[in-house]
Amino acid sequence: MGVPAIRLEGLTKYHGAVVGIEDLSLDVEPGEVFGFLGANGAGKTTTIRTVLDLLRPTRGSAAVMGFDCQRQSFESRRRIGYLPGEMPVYPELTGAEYLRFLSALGPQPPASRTEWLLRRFNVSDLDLRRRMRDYSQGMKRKLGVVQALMTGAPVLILDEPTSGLDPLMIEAFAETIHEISRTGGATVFLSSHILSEVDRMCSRIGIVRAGRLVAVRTLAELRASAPRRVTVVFSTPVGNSQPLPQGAVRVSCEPQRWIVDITGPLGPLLATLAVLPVHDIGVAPFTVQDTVLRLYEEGTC
Amino acid sequence: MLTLVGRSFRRQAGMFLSVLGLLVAFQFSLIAVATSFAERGDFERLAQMLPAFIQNALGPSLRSFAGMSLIGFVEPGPVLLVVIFLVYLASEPAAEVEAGLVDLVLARPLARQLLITRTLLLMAIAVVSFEAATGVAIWLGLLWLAPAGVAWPRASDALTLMAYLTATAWCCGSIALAVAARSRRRASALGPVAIGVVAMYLLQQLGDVWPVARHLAVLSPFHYFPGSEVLNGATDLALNMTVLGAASVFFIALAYWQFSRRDL
Repeated sequence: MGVPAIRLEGLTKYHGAVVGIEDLSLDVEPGEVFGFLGANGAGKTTTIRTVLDLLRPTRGSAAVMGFDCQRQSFESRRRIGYLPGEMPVYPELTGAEYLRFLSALGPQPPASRTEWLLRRFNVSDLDLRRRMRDYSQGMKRKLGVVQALMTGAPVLILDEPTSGLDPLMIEAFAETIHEISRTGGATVFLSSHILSEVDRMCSRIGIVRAGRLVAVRTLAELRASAPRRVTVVFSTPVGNSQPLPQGAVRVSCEPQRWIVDITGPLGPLLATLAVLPVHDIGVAPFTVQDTVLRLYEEGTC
Repeated sequence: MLTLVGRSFRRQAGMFLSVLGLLVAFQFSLIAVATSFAERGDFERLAQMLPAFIQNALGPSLRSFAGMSLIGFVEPGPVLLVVIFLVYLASEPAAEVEAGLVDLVLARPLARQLLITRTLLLMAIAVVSFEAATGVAIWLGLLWLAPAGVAWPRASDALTLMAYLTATAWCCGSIALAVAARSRRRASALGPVAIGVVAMYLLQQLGDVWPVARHLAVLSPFHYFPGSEVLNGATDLALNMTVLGAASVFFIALAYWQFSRRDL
């Protein structure tokens, strides 16, 4: 096993008596696109800001590419491209000046990469000449994404990257993330509460709830473990005495209509139904959203 | 570092130039007034009319052309203007935390302490520029406006007053920096320190005339800025500078220490 791109070990941060995050342990592998999910105030931003050494942990540690985020903060931050959740701007600067200023702070990005990103996010020369005080939220966000990605850092930490972007730009962002992680080998750690985007972009997700990591799963694992909702309509009324196979639970049981949640293969349920007067069967497709919401609510995996 | 200094300087340029212009204009006006006084013989008339204790209370700045030419370094208006501006500059780290800019800047491979060093450089640039501009304004004012035959202020007095004003402003700025280094909002760093500075100034003024306040006045940085005594030629420069310098070093060290270990 190589060095994880991001490693959190028992990471804990209290803000006085308030728990920010507690005992977070997690490895994010190089090249992975990792979704960090949680409701507002769950601890996503606290985790990210601790990795960036903006917050000092109460206990535990974080490391980026093997460099401790506190003791070797300079080296770890050299390897990070970061997009803050709320985009801070210098209102008096033009977009071009803003990017130049951040480039000068290092690491120096190749001009060709910045130009590629500006094209990808449809930021024109005219936009770059305008002062940032005149930018819309979406425009500020686009420039934020560009500044985070332009350095070509091997680890990208993006805090709610698509908030404020229009659907076209969300599409461009998703494509860019795929491209950067697949061809560039960058690791992407993105926090979000927009589940459909995470479903689309991430290979693995972690769910944080009230400061604690309650689940870390690949999307494939989530799909396999997710219950599917099967609706069965009977041509004549049937009783509810028919036993269901293991993993199946009746959610609703009317004489001519059952709703069953089933985890695992459908075969045993179909075998059970084969002896009944089934008129129609509907199977609701898996969504990350349902599973994640269930995990949010249960707080366990 | 230059990038950070340049960025901060550009943000404050408007206010900086306004303060600079105000100081220069005030200095020119003073010399014009002093010239008018000298040409009408008002300094001599004042000396004859007013009893000695009132002249002492008014200070040497109103007793001679040379004294009046230098009161830009001593009078509360320009002195507090310079000091409060430095306090404002020193509150920048808190402003950056408040606006979230610190997230953007310190996500880059930069040492945290650079933000404090940057602010100190900015304070140094500001105070040196103000002193230099005021000094040049005095010199040009004297060249263009001073009537023939009047005694110009001594260069050594001007330089000593510049040194005192620099040290006092720097000391107050250092206190503000130490407060800003642990504040999350600019207002909570700037407001109390600015009010405190004015209070310290008033305490020193009270200490000059009221024995009860005299003991407390040693806590005021302005206690170590004896402007009138400089014009009278009697001041313990080494002692005053040592106190102001030591206080500045202490508060700057405190600022570095706090900023390096705090949550941003």
